[in-house]
Amino acid sequence: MTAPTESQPSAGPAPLPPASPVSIPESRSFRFKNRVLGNPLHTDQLEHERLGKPTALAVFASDALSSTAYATEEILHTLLVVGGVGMLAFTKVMPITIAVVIVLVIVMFSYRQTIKAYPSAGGAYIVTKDNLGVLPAQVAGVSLLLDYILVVAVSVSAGTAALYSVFSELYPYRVPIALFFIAVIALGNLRGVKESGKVFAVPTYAFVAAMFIMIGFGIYKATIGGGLEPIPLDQLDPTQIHEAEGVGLIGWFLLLRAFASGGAALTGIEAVSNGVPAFRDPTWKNARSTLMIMGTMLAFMFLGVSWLASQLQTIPVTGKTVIAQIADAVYGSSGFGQAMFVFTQFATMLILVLAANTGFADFPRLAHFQAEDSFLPRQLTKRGHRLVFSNGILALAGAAAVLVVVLGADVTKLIPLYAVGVFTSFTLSQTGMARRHLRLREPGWKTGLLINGAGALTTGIVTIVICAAKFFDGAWVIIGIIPIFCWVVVRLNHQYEAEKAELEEDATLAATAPILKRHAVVVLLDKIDRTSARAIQYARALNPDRLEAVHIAVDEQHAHELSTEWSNLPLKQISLDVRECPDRRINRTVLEVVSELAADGDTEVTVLIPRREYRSAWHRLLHDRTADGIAKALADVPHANVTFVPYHLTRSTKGQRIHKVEHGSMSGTVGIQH
Amino acid sequence: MGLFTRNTKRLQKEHEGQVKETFDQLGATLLKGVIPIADVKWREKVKVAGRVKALRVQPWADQVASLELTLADGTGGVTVVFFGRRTLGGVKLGTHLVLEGMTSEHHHLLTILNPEYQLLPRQVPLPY
Repeated sequence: MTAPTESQPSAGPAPLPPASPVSIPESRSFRFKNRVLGNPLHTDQLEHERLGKPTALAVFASDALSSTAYATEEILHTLLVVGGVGMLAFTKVMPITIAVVIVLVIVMFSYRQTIKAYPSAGGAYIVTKDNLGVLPAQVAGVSLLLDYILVVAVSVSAGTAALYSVFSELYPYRVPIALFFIAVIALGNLRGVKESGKVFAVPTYAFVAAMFIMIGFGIYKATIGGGLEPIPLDQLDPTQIHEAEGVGLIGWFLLLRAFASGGAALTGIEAVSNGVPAFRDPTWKNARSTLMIMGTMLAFMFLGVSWLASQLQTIPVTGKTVIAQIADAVYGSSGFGQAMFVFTQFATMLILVLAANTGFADFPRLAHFQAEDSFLPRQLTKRGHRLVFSNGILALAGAAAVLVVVLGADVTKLIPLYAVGVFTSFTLSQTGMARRHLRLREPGWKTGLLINGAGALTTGIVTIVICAAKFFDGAWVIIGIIPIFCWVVVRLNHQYEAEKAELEEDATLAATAPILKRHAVVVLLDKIDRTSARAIQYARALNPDRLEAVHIAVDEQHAHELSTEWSNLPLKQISLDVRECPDRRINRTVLEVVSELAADGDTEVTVLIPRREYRSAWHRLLHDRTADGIAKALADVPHANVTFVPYHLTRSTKGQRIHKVEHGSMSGTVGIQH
Repeated sequence: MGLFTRNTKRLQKEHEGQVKETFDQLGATLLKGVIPIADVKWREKVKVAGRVKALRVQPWADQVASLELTLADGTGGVTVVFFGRRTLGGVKLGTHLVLEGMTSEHHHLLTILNPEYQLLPRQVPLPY
C-alpha cells in the first residue's frame, strides 16, 4: 500500500555520496598550514604563469639589476680598505667597471645562444648534463645551489644596509631585520606567489627609475650644474676611514681582487635562461630580447654608479652605503633632495629583497632537478601544500639564515664567498654549449661556437681570477665546500642507485611467489589492560595457525601475578608464554622468540605490539619507547612482521578516560569470549 | 621591440576570446542532456559528466579483462565498468568524461556498464 520511495531496496543501489562517508578529522598541523599558507592547491591548478616582456623583465631582472647596489661599493672597498691605496683608487674604479661590463656583454651574448638551444628550461644544470655528462652537471648544480643561498644572504643583507643607511638607529638590529626579510620571503614563496609579476614590477621599475634619475642628475650637476665636488672627508666618521688615507701601490693583484669583487654584478644573468618557459609565445624570442634589455640596463647603471662614485670619491664606511652617499651628495639637502634620497634608498631596499626572491624561485627548482636524478634527497622533489617545492624553500631559508647570522649580515664579508659558484656554472654551461655546437652542427653553428667558446674562455679565466684573488678573503670556504658537496651528492646517488637495484631485482617474481605455509601470531604483553585487550582481539581476528601471548619476565613477581591473572581468563586456545630475561634485554629476548618461530623458513610471524598513542609529545615523554625499540630489533629477521595495535589515550588527565566502548566486544574489565 | 605596445595585448585578448568561444560551443554540444550524478537511478539510461576519481586495474592473470573507474561530479559518484579491456585511450586519473549508458548493479554498487564515452577537454567546465 505504501508508495515506493527511493530508499526501498527495489530501487537498486544509490550513487556514491560526493564526499567520503567516513569523517576523518584533519590533523592539527594541517589546520595550522591551512591558516598560515591558505587552502591546499589542487594538482590540476599547477599552471605556468606566462609573462609578457615588461613583467618578465621585472621578475627576472631584479637579481641582476640589484647587484649594482653593491658592486661598485665592493670594488671601492677592495681598493680602499683592503688595499689602502688612497685617492689613487678613484682613478681605477672606472677601468675595473668597464672590464666587468665587457665580461657581462660576452656572457650576455653567450646566454642568447643557450636560450635558443634550450627553450624548455636551460639552466646550467640541464645544459651541462645534456652536453658534458651527469658528473660535471653535479658540479654546476652544486655551485649554483651554494650561490643561490648566497644570493639570498647577500641581497637580504644589502637590503638591510639600504634600510639602515636611512635610519641609522636600526644598525644594531641588522641581523634580526635580515632574518625577518628571509622569513617573509620564505613564507610568501610557501604560499606560492601567484601574482608575482605584479609584486615584482613596482620595485624593479622604481629602482631602475631611481638609478637613472640619480645618474642623470649627477651628469647634469657635473656638466651644467657646476661640477661635482668630492664628499668632504669630515662628513664621514673619521675612525672608519683611517685606512683609506694611507697611500699604497696599486699592484696587479689588487686590481684583480677589485675586479673579482665587481664580478658579483654578473650574478643573476642566468635567471632569464632558467625561466624561458615562463615567457609568452614566441618564448625564446621574448626571452632573448628581455635578456638584452636587462643586460643593457645593468651595464649602464653599473657604469653610471661607478662614474658617480669616482667623481664624488665616496668611501665605503659601515653604516652608510655608497649608493646612499651618492644619492645624498647628488640630491643635496633640500626638501626635494631628501625626498629623492629616501625614495632611492627604499627602492634599493625593495629590489634587494626581491632579488632574494629570485634565489627562492631558482633554488627549489634546481634542487628538484637534481633530486629527480637522485643526486639530492628525495624530499626535495615533493610539491607541498601550495604546489611549490616547500622543502627546497625551507632548506634555502635555513641555509641563508645561518649564513646571515654567522657573518652578521655584513655584505662585505659575504661578497668574497659569492660569484665563485656563478662563474663556475657559467663556465660549465658555456663549455657545454660549445660542445653542443660541435656535436650538432646546426645552421650557424660556427658563429655560435665562436660566441660560446669566447664565453667559456672568458668566464673560465674570470673563475680562476676570482678563486685566486679572493681565496684568502673567504673564497676558500666555497672552493673547499664545492668538492665536498659534490662528493656527498655523488655518494648519495650511489646509495640511491644501490637501493634501487636491490629493490627492483626480480620484483615481479617476488610479488607472485607462493605464500608461506604457516602463520604464527605473537602478542607481546606486559599486563592485562585495555591496550593488550585490543591486541588480543585483533590477533584473534587474524585467525592464524598459531597464536600465543608472550610476556618477557623482567620482574619475576610481576610475571607470576600476570600468569595467575591469565589462567583466570575465560579464553580458549591462547597460551601465555612467560620468558625469562635475566639480563633485562627485552629486545634480545623478543628477537630470540621470533627467530625460533621463523626458523623453519616456512612461517610468517606477525608480532603484535600494543601501543598507546599519545595526544601530545609531552605525554609521550613520560614513557619509554620500548615498542619502537622492539620493532627495530626485529627488522632484520626475514618474514617477521611487526604490527602496532594502537590504543588512543584520549582524556588521560581528566579521570574520565574511557568515554566510548570500542568494537562492542569489550566492557570495563577484560571479558573476552572466544 | 614591442615591449609596451598595446597592439599585442589587444590581439592576445582577442585570441583568448575566440578560444573561449570555441570551447563554450563544444561544451554546449557535448554536455546536452547531462544530469547530476546524484540524480542517477538504477536501470535507467543516463548521461553524466565528471572527473575520473579512481581507477581499478586487474592483474594480468585474471580471466576477464575489465576496467573499473569511479566518475564523480560535485553531487556524487558512480562506478563505471568497461568489460573486455584494460585501458581506455586518454582516460587517466583526473580526466573529464561524458558518459551515456544504462545503469545497473555490479558488486553491490550502482554501475554504468560499457557506456558510450567522450573525453571532455579541460577548458570546458563541468556542469555540476
